[in-house]
Amino acid sequence: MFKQFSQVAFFAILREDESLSEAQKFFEKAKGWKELQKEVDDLVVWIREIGNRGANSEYFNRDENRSFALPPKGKRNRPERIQNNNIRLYCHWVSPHIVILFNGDIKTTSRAQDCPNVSSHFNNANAWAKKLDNIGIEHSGQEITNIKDLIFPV
Amino acid sequence: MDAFDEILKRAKPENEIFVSLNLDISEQVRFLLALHPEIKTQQKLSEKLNKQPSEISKWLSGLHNLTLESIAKMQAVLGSEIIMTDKRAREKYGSMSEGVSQKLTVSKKTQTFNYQLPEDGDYTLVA
Repeated sequence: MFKQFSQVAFFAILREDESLSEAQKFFEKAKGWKELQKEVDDLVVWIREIGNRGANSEYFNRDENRSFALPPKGKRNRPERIQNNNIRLYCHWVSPHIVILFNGDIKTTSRAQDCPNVSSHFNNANAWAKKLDNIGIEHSGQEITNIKDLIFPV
Repeated sequence: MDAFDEILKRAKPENEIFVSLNLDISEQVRFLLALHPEIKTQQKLSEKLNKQPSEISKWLSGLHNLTLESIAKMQAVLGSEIIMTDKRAREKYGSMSEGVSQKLTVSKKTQTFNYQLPEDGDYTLVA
């Protein structure tokens, strides 16, 4: 489990030979994005707030094929050079109480598939979401009850 | 402390308040939609507002810079208050004390809530 709040448990993918999960890698990168600091901080606060309120599926409005991307679509007044929030943290919504966070980066092209920063994360997110759906995530509240079955090659 | 927690710690109060207020409004709109006799979904709300569903989805995402004008439009369509200041709530509902059950009128439906408040003090009801 990556983070647990009163309503939502956020899980992450951990590769067998690594110490940092994919989500941890994302936040390690993101904390250094000086020009997008406000956007990064908003995103983390939003995750915590959703964690304490419940992950209503309607908040996950940025469809990315089989997965979703955070932040959700929405616009803040920002300087012209940062008109679009191009941060993409890919995730898989399981229930109002479970969300699986993947990895991501700053998207630099119109399509994620074409972006050198996020294309691998986009592809991984969709492959992992498909794999998880095929295996089937059994859950009760904030617990994934068949978590030991959710081991697959990444 | 990992990077997530470091970012959370450095976030300014304005970030916290912005997201929290935003989500308060989203939750209130969803609550009102559930109670509305006709407009039950975000889709129907978007039709009433003459907006694309994707636009309303952004409004209610928790990270959109909602204008007072947008809130006013939703409030007008839903027929119930989305935001109420403490002062206005006191004028409308007065203060509540422990052990009193209150009859609340929500939209055109009347519902009765019977509950024991946990502590003494003034409570502000947010519609």
